[in-house]
Amino acid sequence: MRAPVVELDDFRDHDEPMTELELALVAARAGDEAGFATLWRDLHPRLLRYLRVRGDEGAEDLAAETWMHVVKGLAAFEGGLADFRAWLFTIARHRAIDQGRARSRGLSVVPVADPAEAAARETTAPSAEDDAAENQATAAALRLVATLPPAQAEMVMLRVVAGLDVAHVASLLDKRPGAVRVGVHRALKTLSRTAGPRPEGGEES
Amino acid sequence: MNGDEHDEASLERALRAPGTPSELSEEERYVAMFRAARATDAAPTPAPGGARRAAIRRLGAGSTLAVVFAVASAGVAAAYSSSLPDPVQRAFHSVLAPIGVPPSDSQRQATAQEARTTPEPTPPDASAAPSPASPTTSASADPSTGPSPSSSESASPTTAADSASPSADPSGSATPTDSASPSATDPASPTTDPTDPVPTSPTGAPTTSPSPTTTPTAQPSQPTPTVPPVAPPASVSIVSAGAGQRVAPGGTAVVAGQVRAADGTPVASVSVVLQARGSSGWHRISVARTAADGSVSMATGPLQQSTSVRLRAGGVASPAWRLVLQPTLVASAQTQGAVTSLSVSATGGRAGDSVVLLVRRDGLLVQQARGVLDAAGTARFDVPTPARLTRYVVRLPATPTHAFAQTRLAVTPGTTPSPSPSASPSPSGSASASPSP
Repeated sequence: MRAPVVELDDFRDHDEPMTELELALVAARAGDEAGFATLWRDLHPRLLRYLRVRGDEGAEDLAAETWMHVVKGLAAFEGGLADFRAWLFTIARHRAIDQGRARSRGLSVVPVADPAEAAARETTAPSAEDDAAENQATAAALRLVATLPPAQAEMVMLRVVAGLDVAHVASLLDKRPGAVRVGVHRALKTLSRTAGPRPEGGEES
Repeated sequence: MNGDEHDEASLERALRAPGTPSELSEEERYVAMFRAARATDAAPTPAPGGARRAAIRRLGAGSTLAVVFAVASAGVAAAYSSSLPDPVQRAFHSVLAPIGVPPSDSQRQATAQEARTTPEPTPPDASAAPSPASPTTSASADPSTGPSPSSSESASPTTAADSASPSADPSGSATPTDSASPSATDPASPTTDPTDPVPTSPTGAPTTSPSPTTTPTAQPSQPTPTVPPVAPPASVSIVSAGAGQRVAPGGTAVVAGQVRAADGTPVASVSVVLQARGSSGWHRISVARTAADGSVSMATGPLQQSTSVRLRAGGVASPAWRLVLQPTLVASAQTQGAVTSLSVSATGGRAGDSVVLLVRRDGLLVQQARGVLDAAGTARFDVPTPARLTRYVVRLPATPTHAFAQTRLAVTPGTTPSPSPSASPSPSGSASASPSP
């Protein structure tokens, strides 16, 4: 039986400082470093999380490459914050796909990573333990998303973490908007149900 | 953490949490990139060229060359026309000489002057790998980490085309570009230079200039009369490494590179150090000399974990190149009455690595259990014996030491499936004891 479809809220309308970010975008386009820094602080963590959940090796390098393209074209960019986000994550996704194609010819499934574990191992600075404690919830949530089928995980990351609207996600993933809505809804339901091991055995597929 | 604690709202909040200190630690670097881009934004746009874009993109592979990476990407347009300020043009040329970016005026003048004067020896390499133009010193090399024969294939680097632009259709697909980079090296028969403290593997044609055999001196800057003039390396690039950057556990990768002088000509017979990044920084793996065409090729030792490598010559280093260890997963099932034990063996995994068991329900893969690898690299899941054919997926998530791996296993009541080999390096193509959908 098909699960009821519930329209997700537009994540951008809740607790994100839209006005500040929009002003920052305008300032950055005009060459203001502070404006760019504001944009970067908001979007770079989302970009890293997206790339890590995708399972891409060298998420930091991919993110750097993405931002390089952004700063090159920012002055000519036209559009609002939603368009800017879509542009940023479109570049990142294409870069990641290119890297994946070059690495493994014929890969049809985008592998998922365990970003929580990776983050825990990568942190070697003195404040690593503090960081890990602060971000335990985020790391656990990312780990959960990484257990989803790759296509669903990517939908969730683009919709929830990147903050793209349904239309942009659908365009980016070449899917119908309805499929994106249903996919994200089911994924979040699945995640809320399946956290932690289940005692019962497997069922027939 | 259990499912009750993870409702959707808290999950979304956690996913959208503000950036962590580690995620935001490189803000200054990115702002510097932005600043550099703005500084050269008014430069004319160059004609598009795949080779140029590919070379520029390779810069992105190395976070260690962040400054050059940022400057080069932003001002490459101006660099082609030599319209950048001298220091910027110099930086561009040092990295992009192989693709035709000309040197700065001061570099051209210096090169011309240098050609008229007594040759200066190449500055000693920080990694204790002397160039052939400098006196040979007793480097603290580790002979045990010399080059080893490799069975790995050489592959081309990822050189994606521009995939998105501000006004472009975001759905436009990116196109990877392949560039063959054959190596003249025969790693199976390295010829060791007796004067080199580190085993070397010369590549290509024999060197045309003799290797100096002077004794260590306290004044390494003094020119050696017998050394012919050799232009110092201005750019070092990795043109291929390993088989698509993926290496099997215990396998080796061949790293091929190119060394060019400031004027873009290949630098022959110069020592190139293959370095790997460790917890304490870059350390030497091997040393080889460039061939007449400036090419060099070296094999890494057996890799037990993912690592970054680079080539270094005359104080110039290439962007870092990531070699990713691809683990191998094997899963098997043993049914004993009401309980079926699923055993997983991971080659290339590490003790403590997470292993996730998933089962397909309603067309979706749902996590069934999560375990960890023991010291032997194995994990076991005990599940109730299914009443019907059930297909499981076992995943080894990626970690900093290895890539993601996955395998599938079908369990039918009354049968004992044979072990299923891993999907690696193609996670989606795993073999299974029973046909997978």
